[in-house]
Amino acid sequence: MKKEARPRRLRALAGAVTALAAFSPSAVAQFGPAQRPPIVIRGGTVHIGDGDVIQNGTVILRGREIEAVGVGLTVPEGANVIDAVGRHVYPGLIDVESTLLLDDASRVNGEGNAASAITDALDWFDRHAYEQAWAGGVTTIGIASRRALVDGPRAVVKMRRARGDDAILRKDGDLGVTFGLNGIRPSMRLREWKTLFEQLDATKKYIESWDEYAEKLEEYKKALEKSAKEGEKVAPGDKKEKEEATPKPEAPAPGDGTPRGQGERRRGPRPNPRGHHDHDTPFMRWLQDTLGWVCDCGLPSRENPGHDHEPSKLTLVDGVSFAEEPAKPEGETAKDGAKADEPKKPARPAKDLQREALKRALEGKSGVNVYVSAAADIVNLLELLRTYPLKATITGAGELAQVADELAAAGVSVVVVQSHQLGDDAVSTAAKLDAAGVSIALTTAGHTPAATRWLSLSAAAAVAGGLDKERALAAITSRAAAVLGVADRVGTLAVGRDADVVITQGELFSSTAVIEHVFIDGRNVRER
Amino acid sequence: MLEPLFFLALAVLTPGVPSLQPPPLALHVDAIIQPDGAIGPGGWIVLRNGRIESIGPAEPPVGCARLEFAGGVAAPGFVDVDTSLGAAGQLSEPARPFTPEVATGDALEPDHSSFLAAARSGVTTVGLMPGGRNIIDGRVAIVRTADDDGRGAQLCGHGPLRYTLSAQAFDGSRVPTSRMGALPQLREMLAKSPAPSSGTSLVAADTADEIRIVIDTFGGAGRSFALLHPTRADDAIELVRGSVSGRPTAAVIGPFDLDTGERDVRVAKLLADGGVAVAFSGGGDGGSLRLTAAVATRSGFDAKAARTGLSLAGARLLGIESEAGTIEAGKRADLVVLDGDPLDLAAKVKLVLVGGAPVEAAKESP
Repeated sequence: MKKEARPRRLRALAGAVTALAAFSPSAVAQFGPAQRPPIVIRGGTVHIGDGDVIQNGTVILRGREIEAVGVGLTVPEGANVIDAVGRHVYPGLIDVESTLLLDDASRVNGEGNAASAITDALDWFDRHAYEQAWAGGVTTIGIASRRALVDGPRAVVKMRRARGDDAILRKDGDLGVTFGLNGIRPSMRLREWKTLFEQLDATKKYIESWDEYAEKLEEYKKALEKSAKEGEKVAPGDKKEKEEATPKPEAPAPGDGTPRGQGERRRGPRPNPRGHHDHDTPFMRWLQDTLGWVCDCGLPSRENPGHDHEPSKLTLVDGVSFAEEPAKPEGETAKDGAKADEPKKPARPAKDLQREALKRALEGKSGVNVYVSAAADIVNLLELLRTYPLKATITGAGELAQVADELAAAGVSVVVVQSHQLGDDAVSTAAKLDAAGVSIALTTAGHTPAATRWLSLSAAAAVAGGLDKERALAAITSRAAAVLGVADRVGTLAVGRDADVVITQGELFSSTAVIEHVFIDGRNVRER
Repeated sequence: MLEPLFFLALAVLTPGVPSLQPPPLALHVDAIIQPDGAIGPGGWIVLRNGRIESIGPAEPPVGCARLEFAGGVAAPGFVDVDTSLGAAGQLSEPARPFTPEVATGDALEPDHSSFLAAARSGVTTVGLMPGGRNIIDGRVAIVRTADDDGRGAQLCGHGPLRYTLSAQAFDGSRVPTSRMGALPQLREMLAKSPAPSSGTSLVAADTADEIRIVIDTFGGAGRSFALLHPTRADDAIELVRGSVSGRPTAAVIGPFDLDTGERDVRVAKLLADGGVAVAFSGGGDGGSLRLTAAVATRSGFDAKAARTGLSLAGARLLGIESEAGTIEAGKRADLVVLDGDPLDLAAKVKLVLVGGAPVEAAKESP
């Protein structure tokens, strides 16, 4: 009898462990999401999001990803099975331009420029915003600032009720260019175009000035090396400079000009205490780390503990600060009585964050999304794209259909701000663009955050305008993801994509549809 | 001298009219919206002399012009109670606070282009609503959006009186300047004048308190009344549901669009759940009307009630439910054929008939 007691106790213990494992998936999930049981959505009409539809399909979600999509898949052991017979299964919807999460002040007033970050204006604690998105089956939104002609990059956010990086898919999206901002100057169309051209032009000059600087710096370094080889007597200050300047390969990196070791700075008296910027004081570190302030030398404290800043050399050109050329030899070197034929160190141009943002766009490292609706402006824009090689997409409504062929020829993707005035010509804008071969996405671009909830109704209006249903679906899933640059993560029900899934009773575009489940990253956030 | 000529001309022309009557029209659709708002089975709808003659699965009589719509859904023509379509000038006479003798039909411009747009979008009857600046504001004109030729609008009667008890009816420049001053006069008028035989009084009231006053005043006088845009009715919902002295029979709600707040949309559902018939209004635009119903439906509003909210509820408010609002034999042939449920925004309007006359189709406009 006693012999049996032990194994039984062991068995009981084993059972308890199993039970613990089975009953605490949510607790475990917080530490390792992969340990959650897989979710199997079985028997539904599966709309992939790229146009394909699978009848009686199965979608398996494991952890934060989609593990499998297909027909007749084997149900993994221990899976939570959701019976979706008679239901429709869609990828989580994406509203390319939403104002959900955007705090009121930034939405209504606010100011922006190319260097501003929209993520600074998001209210991650707005519970209502998440609920509105889920009620509409929307799992990802794009948020753009439209407060200036050239505004900062668009952010792409998962509506998963998490803060910061956990919810942000991208914060370096397209720069926003917005025409016709009411009440915000420049209000006239001509003025707006002039300003845009001026900004692009100034950015071009900015890029040139840095290229020139890089070139001169290289020459300067070579000259230094040459003079060292010639075996001339080198002043101690120059030696130091040479040693630090030569090993760094990437020439244009700002700050290469006057790198100073901390030790040296502390030893010697400050030659120009007023103009000296010490980057490594607690206050400066706070400025940089908390506010994101960057000194016009562009370097964080670690790379450049300090440098001499000489305001007298700066001049304002078109609102941009550029250092005056030619540069004078710096600090001690000059004082030590340098020879006339000694190589001159070039002056570093000032860093300008707004120009930097446009520079990225001009170099093709980021896109530009232009909000424009008037046909004439679109023609102008296409013209501009021939001069400036921007990766542009267009968001708009109104007269887009009138220039459908031009847009198709230029290969520009268009985000249609869908009209929902049935009977109005504007309802068929998306259909007309699609027919002309333009790649389209749809958005509510709501003036109020409430609109995002109705994204699927909005797309239904596009269907009323003649757009094919699956294409309308693609326009709020896969195409929307592509425009936002997150197609590798969301927008289609495909293996390896994020487990963002919507299950509805009735077709999504029907008003009587009921959105029953919404999964974001494999978590059920809405159940009805 | 000219008079005999005129009568002669009339005599000659009149016999010609019957021969100009078009042949009966038979429509075949796959589904018909029932009077209760359900989507019922399809069949043939036979229309003769501008009226619905029969509905059913039976083959139509010989000699009918036949139109078949594969996948078609026939809905009664939409009725929008609260519009200002084709109004010449403002629809209020604000010099005096009580103007029951005013009729907005006098301000009607039948050839206004907005009627054709409304008709194309499926709206066959609209109410031309007084502007709401007076406590008693005058009569709502009942207007068909197309005449027998399917062109201009046609005034077909004067509907119920509109009352306004919200703040916009009061200002300091005329007596009564306040609700307290207005109510005794209003009660006296209600007591003296007979209740209308059909239709119902339309009373604009916004806040919960205004709704309470309306229930007291109109319910107390034994009047049948409906609330116009009771946007804050959720605060007074207990009152609306359980009023002893009388409760509103109906409410006019809308328009909603994608920017409408959740609370406003919820009011529609609360009222309907409380037994108040909700008539949607889209300002005369059938697209907005359907969007209003669609937004409400997505928010949990009953689909059947939403479909009646597009037509029958409005027809009842105007007192024309014997003529319009449903697809039933004997009623006027006001019909919309769509390729889906009118609640679905994706459904396109295929044909609109006003009094049996097809409305000139828009150039393939949805």
